[in-house]
Amino acid sequence: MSMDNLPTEILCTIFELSARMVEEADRLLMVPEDYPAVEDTTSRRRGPLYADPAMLPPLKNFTKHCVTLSHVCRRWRDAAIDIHFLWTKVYLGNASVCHGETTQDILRRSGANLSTSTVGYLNV
Amino acid sequence: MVLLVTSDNEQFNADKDVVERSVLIKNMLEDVGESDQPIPLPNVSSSVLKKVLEYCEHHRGEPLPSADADQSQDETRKRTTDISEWDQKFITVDQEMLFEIILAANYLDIKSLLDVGCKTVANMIKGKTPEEIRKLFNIVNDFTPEEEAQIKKENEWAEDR
Repeated sequence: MSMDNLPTEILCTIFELSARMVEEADRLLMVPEDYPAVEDTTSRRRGPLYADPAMLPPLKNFTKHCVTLSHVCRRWRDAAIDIHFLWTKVYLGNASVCHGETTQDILRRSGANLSTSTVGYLNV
Repeated sequence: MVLLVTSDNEQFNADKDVVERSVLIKNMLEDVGESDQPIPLPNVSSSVLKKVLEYCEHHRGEPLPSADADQSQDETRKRTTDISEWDQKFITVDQEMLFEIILAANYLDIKSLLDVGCKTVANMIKGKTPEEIRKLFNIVNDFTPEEEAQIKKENEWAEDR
Protein backbone atom coordinates (compact mmCIF):
# COMPACT_ATOMS: atom_id res chain seq x y z
CA MET A 1 0.00 0.00 0.00
CA SER A 2 1.51 3.31 -1.07
CA MET A 3 0.69 6.73 -2.46
CA ASP A 4 0.29 5.09 -5.90
CA ASN A 5 -2.82 3.26 -4.64
CA LEU A 6 -4.72 6.46 -3.94
CA PRO A 7 -7.31 7.38 -6.58
CA THR A 8 -6.53 10.54 -8.53
CA GLU A 9 -9.52 12.30 -6.95
CA ILE A 10 -8.00 11.85 -3.49
CA LEU A 11 -4.56 12.87 -4.75
CA CYS A 12 -6.11 16.10 -6.05
CA THR A 13 -7.78 16.78 -2.70
CA ILE A 14 -4.41 16.32 -0.98
CA PHE A 15 -2.75 18.74 -3.44
CA GLU A 16 -5.41 21.36 -2.87
CA LEU A 17 -5.21 21.00 0.91
CA SER A 18 -1.42 21.23 0.92
CA ALA A 19 -1.56 24.36 -1.26
CA ARG A 20 -4.10 25.94 1.11
CA MET A 21 -1.80 25.13 4.05
CA VAL A 22 1.16 26.83 2.38
CA GLU A 23 -1.01 29.80 1.45
CA GLU A 24 -2.30 30.13 5.02
CA ALA A 25 1.18 29.88 6.52
CA ASP A 26 2.44 32.61 4.19
CA ARG A 27 -0.48 34.84 4.98
CA LEU A 28 0.03 34.50 8.73
CA LEU A 29 3.73 35.25 8.42
CA MET A 30 3.60 38.24 6.16
CA VAL A 31 0.37 40.21 6.37
CA PRO A 32 -0.36 42.13 9.58
CA GLU A 33 -3.79 41.22 10.93
CA ASP A 34 -4.85 44.86 11.04
CA TYR A 35 -3.77 45.60 7.47
CA PRO A 36 -6.69 47.28 5.73
CA ALA A 37 -8.22 45.02 3.12
CA VAL A 38 -11.67 45.24 1.62
CA GLU A 39 -13.71 42.65 -0.20
CA ASP A 40 -14.30 43.55 -3.82
CA THR A 41 -17.95 42.91 -4.54
CA THR A 42 -18.10 44.83 -7.77
CA SER A 43 -16.25 42.49 -10.08
CA ARG A 44 -15.59 38.80 -10.63
CA ARG A 45 -12.35 39.20 -8.70
CA ARG A 46 -12.36 37.09 -5.53
CA GLY A 47 -10.80 37.78 -2.15
CA PRO A 48 -9.67 40.99 -0.50
CA LEU A 49 -8.07 43.90 -2.29
CA TYR A 50 -4.93 45.44 -0.86
CA ALA A 51 -4.14 49.09 -1.35
CA ASP A 52 -0.38 48.62 -1.49
CA PRO A 53 0.88 45.89 -3.85
CA ALA A 54 3.84 45.35 -1.52
CA MET A 55 1.36 44.12 1.07
CA LEU A 56 -0.39 41.62 -1.18
CA PRO A 57 -0.63 38.24 0.50
CA PRO A 58 2.65 36.54 -0.31
CA LEU A 59 2.29 33.89 -2.97
CA LYS A 60 5.90 33.08 -3.66
CA ASN A 61 5.85 29.93 -1.51
CA PHE A 62 2.36 29.05 -2.76
CA THR A 63 3.46 29.23 -6.38
CA LYS A 64 6.68 27.34 -5.62
CA HIS A 65 4.70 24.62 -3.86
CA CYS A 66 2.29 24.21 -6.77
CA VAL A 67 5.20 23.99 -9.21
CA THR A 68 6.85 21.42 -6.92
CA LEU A 69 3.73 19.22 -6.97
CA SER A 70 3.93 19.14 -10.74
CA HIS A 71 7.62 18.09 -10.69
CA VAL A 72 7.39 14.83 -8.71
CA CYS A 73 6.32 12.30 -11.34
CA ARG A 74 4.09 12.09 -14.41
CA ARG A 75 0.96 11.13 -12.48
CA TRP A 76 1.38 14.01 -10.05
CA ARG A 77 2.15 16.42 -12.90
CA ASP A 78 -1.00 15.48 -14.83
CA ALA A 79 -3.11 15.75 -11.68
CA ALA A 80 -1.60 19.06 -10.51
CA ILE A 81 -1.85 20.76 -13.91
CA ASP A 82 -5.56 19.91 -14.06
CA ILE A 83 -6.35 21.59 -10.73
CA HIS A 84 -7.20 25.18 -11.70
CA PHE A 85 -7.11 26.30 -8.07
CA LEU A 86 -3.33 25.77 -7.97
CA TRP A 87 -2.76 28.19 -10.82
CA THR A 88 -5.35 30.92 -10.29
CA LYS A 89 -2.99 32.87 -8.04
CA VAL A 90 0.51 33.01 -9.41
CA TYR A 91 3.47 34.97 -8.13
CA LEU A 92 5.14 36.31 -11.25
CA GLY A 93 7.95 38.64 -10.15
CA ASN A 94 10.65 39.24 -12.74
CA ALA A 95 10.19 35.78 -14.21
CA SER A 96 7.45 36.95 -16.52
CA VAL A 97 9.99 39.08 -18.39
CA CYS A 98 12.85 36.57 -18.46
CA HIS A 99 10.72 33.50 -19.17
CA GLY A 100 7.75 34.72 -21.16
CA GLU A 101 6.91 31.38 -22.74
CA THR A 102 7.05 29.46 -19.45
CA THR A 103 5.01 32.15 -17.72
CA GLN A 104 2.32 31.74 -20.37
CA ASP A 105 2.37 27.97 -19.88
CA ILE A 106 1.95 28.35 -16.13
CA LEU A 107 -0.82 30.93 -16.48
CA ARG A 108 -2.67 28.78 -19.02
CA ARG A 109 -3.20 26.16 -16.29
CA SER A 110 -5.58 28.48 -14.46
CA GLY A 111 -8.16 28.04 -17.23
CA ALA A 112 -10.07 31.29 -17.38
CA ASN A 113 -9.90 31.83 -13.64
CA LEU A 114 -6.72 33.79 -13.13
CA SER A 115 -7.20 36.30 -10.35
CA THR A 116 -6.03 39.65 -11.71
CA SER A 117 -5.31 41.01 -8.23
CA THR A 118 -2.44 38.62 -7.81
CA VAL A 119 -0.97 39.41 -11.20
CA GLY A 120 -0.17 42.69 -9.46
CA TYR A 121 3.05 41.05 -8.34
CA LEU A 122 4.49 41.59 -11.78
CA ASN A 123 7.61 43.67 -11.17
CA VAL A 124 9.17 45.12 -14.33
CA MET B 1 -25.61 -3.92 17.44
CA VAL B 2 -24.36 -4.42 13.90
CA LEU B 3 -22.11 -7.26 12.78
CA LEU B 4 -19.42 -6.36 10.27
CA VAL B 5 -17.24 -8.87 8.42
CA THR B 6 -13.84 -7.79 7.08
CA SER B 7 -11.89 -8.92 4.01
CA ASP B 8 -9.87 -11.32 6.20
CA ASN B 9 -13.10 -12.78 7.61
CA GLU B 10 -12.95 -11.24 11.06
CA GLN B 11 -16.21 -10.24 12.69
CA PHE B 12 -16.76 -6.98 14.56
CA ASN B 13 -19.79 -6.05 16.62
CA ALA B 14 -20.45 -2.35 16.92
CA ASP B 15 -23.23 0.01 17.95
CA LYS B 16 -25.51 1.20 15.17
CA ASP B 17 -24.89 4.88 15.90
CA VAL B 18 -21.13 4.23 15.67
CA VAL B 19 -21.13 2.36 12.36
CA GLU B 20 -23.65 4.76 10.85
CA ARG B 21 -20.94 7.39 10.66
CA SER B 22 -20.20 5.47 7.46
CA VAL B 23 -22.68 6.57 4.82
CA LEU B 24 -22.11 3.26 2.99
CA ILE B 25 -23.06 1.19 6.05
CA LYS B 26 -25.92 3.53 6.96
CA ASN B 27 -27.40 3.07 3.48
CA MET B 28 -26.90 -0.70 3.63
CA LEU B 29 -28.71 -0.87 6.98
CA GLU B 30 -31.56 1.20 5.59
CA ASP B 31 -31.77 -1.09 2.56
CA VAL B 32 -31.87 -4.36 4.50
CA GLY B 33 -34.07 -3.03 7.33
CA GLU B 34 -34.15 -4.86 10.69
CA SER B 35 -31.89 -7.86 10.16
CA ASP B 36 -29.20 -9.86 11.96
CA GLN B 37 -27.39 -10.45 8.70
CA PRO B 38 -23.69 -9.52 8.88
CA ILE B 39 -22.52 -6.69 6.65
CA PRO B 40 -19.59 -7.75 4.47
CA LEU B 41 -16.80 -5.20 3.96
CA PRO B 42 -14.63 -6.89 1.32
CA ASN B 43 -12.42 -3.83 0.86
CA VAL B 44 -11.47 -3.36 4.51
CA SER B 45 -9.10 -5.55 6.53
CA SER B 46 -9.55 -6.21 10.25
CA SER B 47 -6.58 -4.07 11.32
CA VAL B 48 -7.95 -1.10 9.36
CA LEU B 49 -11.57 -1.60 10.47
CA LYS B 50 -10.37 -1.63 14.08
CA LYS B 51 -8.86 1.84 13.56
CA VAL B 52 -11.91 3.08 11.68
CA LEU B 53 -14.23 1.93 14.47
CA GLU B 54 -11.99 3.62 17.03
CA TYR B 55 -12.42 6.87 15.09
CA CYS B 56 -16.19 6.43 14.74
CA GLU B 57 -16.55 5.60 18.42
CA HIS B 58 -14.67 8.75 19.44
CA HIS B 59 -16.75 10.94 17.14
CA ARG B 60 -20.04 9.22 17.97
CA GLY B 61 -22.89 11.70 18.23
CA GLU B 62 -21.20 14.51 16.31
CA PRO B 63 -23.23 15.99 13.44
CA LEU B 64 -22.79 14.26 10.11
CA PRO B 65 -22.65 16.11 6.79
CA SER B 66 -26.16 16.20 5.35
CA ALA B 67 -26.99 13.68 2.65
CA ASP B 68 -27.58 16.44 0.11
CA ALA B 69 -24.35 18.27 0.99
CA ASP B 70 -23.68 20.52 -1.95
CA GLN B 71 -20.40 21.57 -3.48
CA SER B 72 -20.16 24.66 -1.28
CA GLN B 73 -20.11 22.46 1.84
CA ASP B 74 -17.35 20.39 0.29
CA GLU B 75 -15.44 23.60 -0.43
CA THR B 76 -15.82 24.75 3.18
CA ARG B 77 -14.44 21.43 4.41
CA LYS B 78 -11.46 21.74 2.12
CA ARG B 79 -10.74 25.25 3.39
CA THR B 80 -10.35 24.05 6.96
CA THR B 81 -6.84 22.69 7.13
CA ASP B 82 -6.44 22.15 10.88
CA ILE B 83 -6.67 18.74 12.59
CA SER B 84 -7.85 18.31 16.20
CA GLU B 85 -5.39 17.03 18.79
CA TRP B 86 -7.18 13.70 19.20
CA ASP B 87 -7.36 13.17 15.43
CA GLN B 88 -3.65 13.99 15.12
CA LYS B 89 -2.76 11.33 17.68
CA PHE B 90 -5.19 8.88 16.11
CA ILE B 91 -3.67 9.28 12.64
CA THR B 92 -0.06 8.98 13.85
CA VAL B 93 0.45 5.62 12.15
CA ASP B 94 2.88 4.22 9.60
CA GLN B 95 2.47 5.23 5.95
CA GLU B 96 0.89 1.96 4.90
CA MET B 97 -1.82 2.22 7.57
CA LEU B 98 -2.34 5.89 6.74
CA PHE B 99 -3.11 5.09 3.09
CA GLU B 100 -5.25 2.09 4.13
CA ILE B 101 -7.30 4.37 6.41
CA ILE B 102 -7.73 6.93 3.61
CA LEU B 103 -8.92 4.24 1.19
CA ALA B 104 -11.25 2.72 3.79
CA ALA B 105 -12.71 6.14 4.65
CA ASN B 106 -13.29 6.74 0.95
CA TYR B 107 -14.92 3.32 0.45
CA LEU B 108 -17.02 3.55 3.61
CA ASP B 109 -17.86 7.17 2.84
CA ILE B 110 -16.74 8.72 6.13
CA LYS B 111 -15.93 12.23 4.96
CA SER B 112 -14.47 13.55 8.21
CA LEU B 113 -12.01 10.65 8.45
CA LEU B 114 -11.08 11.04 4.79
CA ASP B 115 -10.35 14.71 5.53
CA VAL B 116 -8.11 13.84 8.48
CA GLY B 117 -6.13 11.40 6.32
CA CYS B 118 -5.80 13.79 3.39
CA LYS B 119 -4.77 16.69 5.64
CA THR B 120 -2.12 14.50 7.25
CA VAL B 121 -0.60 13.62 3.86
CA ALA B 122 -0.85 17.28 2.80
CA ASN B 123 1.10 18.25 5.93
CA MET B 124 3.79 15.72 5.03
CA ILE B 125 4.14 17.19 1.52
CA LYS B 126 4.26 20.91 2.24
CA GLY B 127 7.65 22.58 2.24
CA LYS B 128 9.42 19.65 0.58
CA THR B 129 11.29 19.50 -2.73
CA PRO B 130 10.21 17.05 -5.45
CA GLU B 131 13.16 14.81 -4.57
CA GLU B 132 12.27 14.82 -0.87
CA ILE B 133 8.65 13.94 -1.73
CA ARG B 134 9.80 11.07 -3.98
CA LYS B 135 12.03 9.74 -1.22
CA LEU B 136 9.31 10.07 1.44
CA PHE B 137 6.67 8.19 -0.55
CA ASN B 138 8.96 5.97 -2.62
CA ILE B 139 7.79 7.53 -5.90
CA VAL B 140 9.70 6.87 -9.12
CA ASN B 141 10.74 9.82 -11.26
CA ASP B 142 9.26 8.65 -14.58
CA PHE B 143 9.46 11.83 -16.66
CA THR B 144 10.45 11.56 -20.30
CA PRO B 145 13.47 13.58 -21.50
CA GLU B 146 11.05 16.09 -23.09
CA GLU B 147 9.18 16.52 -19.82
CA GLU B 148 12.47 16.85 -17.94
CA ALA B 149 13.44 19.69 -20.30
CA GLN B 150 10.14 21.47 -19.63
CA ILE B 151 10.53 20.95 -15.89
CA LYS B 152 14.04 22.40 -16.04
CA LYS B 153 12.58 25.51 -17.67
CA GLU B 154 9.89 25.75 -15.00
CA ASN B 155 12.54 25.40 -12.29
CA GLU B 156 14.54 28.25 -13.79
CA TRP B 157 11.31 30.26 -13.94
CA ALA B 158 10.61 29.51 -10.28
CA GLU B 159 14.16 30.26 -9.16
CA ASP B 160 14.37 33.60 -10.98
CA ARG B 161 11.45 35.19 -9.20
